[in-house]
Amino acid sequence: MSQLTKIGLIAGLLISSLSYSQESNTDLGQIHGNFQTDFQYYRPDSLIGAPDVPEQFLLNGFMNLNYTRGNFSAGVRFESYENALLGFDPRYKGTGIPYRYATYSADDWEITAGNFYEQFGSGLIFRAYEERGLGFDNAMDGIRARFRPAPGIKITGVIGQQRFYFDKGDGIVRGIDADWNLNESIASMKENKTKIILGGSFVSKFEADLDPRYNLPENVGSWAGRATISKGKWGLFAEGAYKINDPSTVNNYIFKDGHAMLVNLTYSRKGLGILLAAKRIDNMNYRSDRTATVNDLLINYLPALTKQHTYRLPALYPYATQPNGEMGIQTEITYTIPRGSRFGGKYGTQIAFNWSIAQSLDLQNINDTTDIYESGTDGYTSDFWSWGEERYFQDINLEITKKFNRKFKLIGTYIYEEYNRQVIEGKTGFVYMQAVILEAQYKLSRTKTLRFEAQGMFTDQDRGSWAMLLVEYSISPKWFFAVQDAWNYSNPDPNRQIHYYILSFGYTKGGTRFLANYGKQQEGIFCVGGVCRNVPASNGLSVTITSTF
Amino acid sequence: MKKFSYILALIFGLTAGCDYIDDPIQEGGIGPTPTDSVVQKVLVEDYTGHKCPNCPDAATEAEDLKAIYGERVVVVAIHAGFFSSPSPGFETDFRTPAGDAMNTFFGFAAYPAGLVNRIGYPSQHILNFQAWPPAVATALDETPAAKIEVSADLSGSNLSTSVNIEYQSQIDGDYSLIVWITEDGIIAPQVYVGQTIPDYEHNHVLRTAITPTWGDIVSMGPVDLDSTYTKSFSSTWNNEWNEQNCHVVAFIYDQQTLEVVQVEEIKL
Repeated sequence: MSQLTKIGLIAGLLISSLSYSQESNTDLGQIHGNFQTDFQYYRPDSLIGAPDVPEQFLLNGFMNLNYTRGNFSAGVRFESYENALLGFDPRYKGTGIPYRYATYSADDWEITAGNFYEQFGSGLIFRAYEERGLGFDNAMDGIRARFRPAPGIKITGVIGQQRFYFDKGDGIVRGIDADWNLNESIASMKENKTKIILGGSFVSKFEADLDPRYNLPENVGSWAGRATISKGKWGLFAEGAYKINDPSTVNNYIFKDGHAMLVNLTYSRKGLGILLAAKRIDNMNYRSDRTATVNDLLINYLPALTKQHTYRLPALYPYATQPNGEMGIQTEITYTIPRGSRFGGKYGTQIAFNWSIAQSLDLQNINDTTDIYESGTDGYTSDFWSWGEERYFQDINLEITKKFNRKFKLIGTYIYEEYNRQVIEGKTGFVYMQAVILEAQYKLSRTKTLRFEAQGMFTDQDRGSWAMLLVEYSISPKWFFAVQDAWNYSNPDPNRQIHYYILSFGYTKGGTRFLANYGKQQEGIFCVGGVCRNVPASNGLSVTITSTF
Repeated sequence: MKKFSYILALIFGLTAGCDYIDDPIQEGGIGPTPTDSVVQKVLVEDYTGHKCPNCPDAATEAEDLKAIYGERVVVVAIHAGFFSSPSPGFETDFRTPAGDAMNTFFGFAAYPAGLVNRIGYPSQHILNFQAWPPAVATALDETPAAKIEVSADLSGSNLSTSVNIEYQSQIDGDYSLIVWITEDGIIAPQVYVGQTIPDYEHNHVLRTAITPTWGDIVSMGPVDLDSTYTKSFSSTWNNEWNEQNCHVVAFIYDQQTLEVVQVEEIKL
């Protein structure tokens, strides 16, 4: 990091000194960026399981600075973890510039040197991205070239190493992707009502084999093909991926190849939207370090295909994609009962129904003498169409939104969930959960809004049932106040029937926002798109400041 | 058209990047053990705990490595962190002040995990046990920079230890020596994936650090290849330890990188 950091820092300083002279007539380009800092003061609380924090307070912060002038752009990101907040990996330690890039683009090509994010198709074989709330960042450090040889055709090539906290992984990732929009590319299809976009990609990683036990593949290649077809109200997206033998820690060093399939069918017209999605993932853990686990050095991205609940209680049981194998289906139907009808009222009533399920693959032994997942073998066979017996996750939920008048709106939600803790969190048990949530929004005036949430989550497993109340008062665009209390009233341990209260206060001015929370946070897992991190319990004050410029 | 041909060349270059493996298992793959008088050895520190559900798998991995490389691999099990505290049913306290301090310093947050010659500090040193075999293989490939000889004598409750270090190459830096006592064959309960094994055999358990946690300085600046650096220690023996099962482990490390240069283990 050190040498590059210095270069990045100098570049950053140069760029910022340039910006001071922006007022002269010559075009010196523009600087934009954003800034965020999260600070938390921790109080020890052994009852809720909040760990002792020797530093007492911790801080995460970052600032992006982007400079553009004509066809040229460059930028740096400064990050600081003094030390990382609880729940973020402690390997995020100290301060530095882990992200810097320069891009030059001309008519039909573009080249980027340094760090970049990129995604091929839906990411089944390659996705470099960051998710700050998860502490996830697998930015590439290398070179990316884009080229548009003809209308409707886009080719992207990437090569580099992946970010690993304040360092880089040793493995090299190389890939190429082609995207072909037939309607733009073929003259006779320009006016065609059927829109077709085809895509294909190839990705390969190199990692030296130093293993004393196995002959490991040093180059692991993967392919994916995709198609997006839409006509009028209908849309279809399908992507399939294949990966050659890739023994790793996560798959217990089996030498089987990997497959992934993702299909999305959508229908939408005024007042009605239908989504049907299905996936099959088979041995698709793909990392530039075969010994990496958790969220480290992932090359690809496997979507969860489940609804991400935002209410605090049901959000305690989110689904995490199982890269070793799963089959899943999701259906979502949104319907608006027309206004003026009996149930539609003056404003119409929105109903959203969502169902998702994830299940194991149907695994069979490769022969009589080999165990399933036995290291150094092909591991298992599995029939493409047959479902395994183990339920990983199921979620059935219904949300009804009803606006009564200009001032008053109600949202009612029901959720039923089956959650395999053993598979998702690695802890024992299976959780059956039901949740009911009522949210009310009342506009007191043009700028003042009162919001109220009552949540109940009922289960006999894990920590038992919860009830929660939230009251939020906001004066737009500047002020925000909230009080909430989540009560774990039926925890099997009577000493742990705790009230997790939080007081919040926010202030926004221009592009800057200040948010403070004081109270107790329960232990849980937090996921975005099927990628998760553990959040330990905490008790104390947290402050977040964000700013864009 | 020229651009196209570049792209085609790139595509073919990439598709070549696939290694299909037909013979996964290596046969006698590690080659003969070096016959030189000085061989590079490697220290595997296994951070563990008696209530850690997956830790026995890490211990098995360590034994597998010892089966492959013999005495070139020195394993030390350091019981520290969340899973190591004593509680009803798990009364034995395997923890040590040195283990606790190292556990905090190296930033262990999940177990089992370990260090291989402490390589990779500060960001890539923590390795899950599945990552130990390649790390050990790499570390063993180094040319030995030092030779360590250890002798120990237990009389009554006094243990005298002596360590001789002969540098083998002209290295420059500050090097410190750490000396530990480890014990094998301790029978005590251990959690293993959802169950408790009442008579689990705990091996290579760190019992005490004879030196301070971060060691005693051996040399500073350029080393003298013609001299032997000697360090002697006198320490009190704890009678609860079974001396028949104990080892003395000594290693030197670079204070700058924290990397272990060489390690030696003798039976008491």
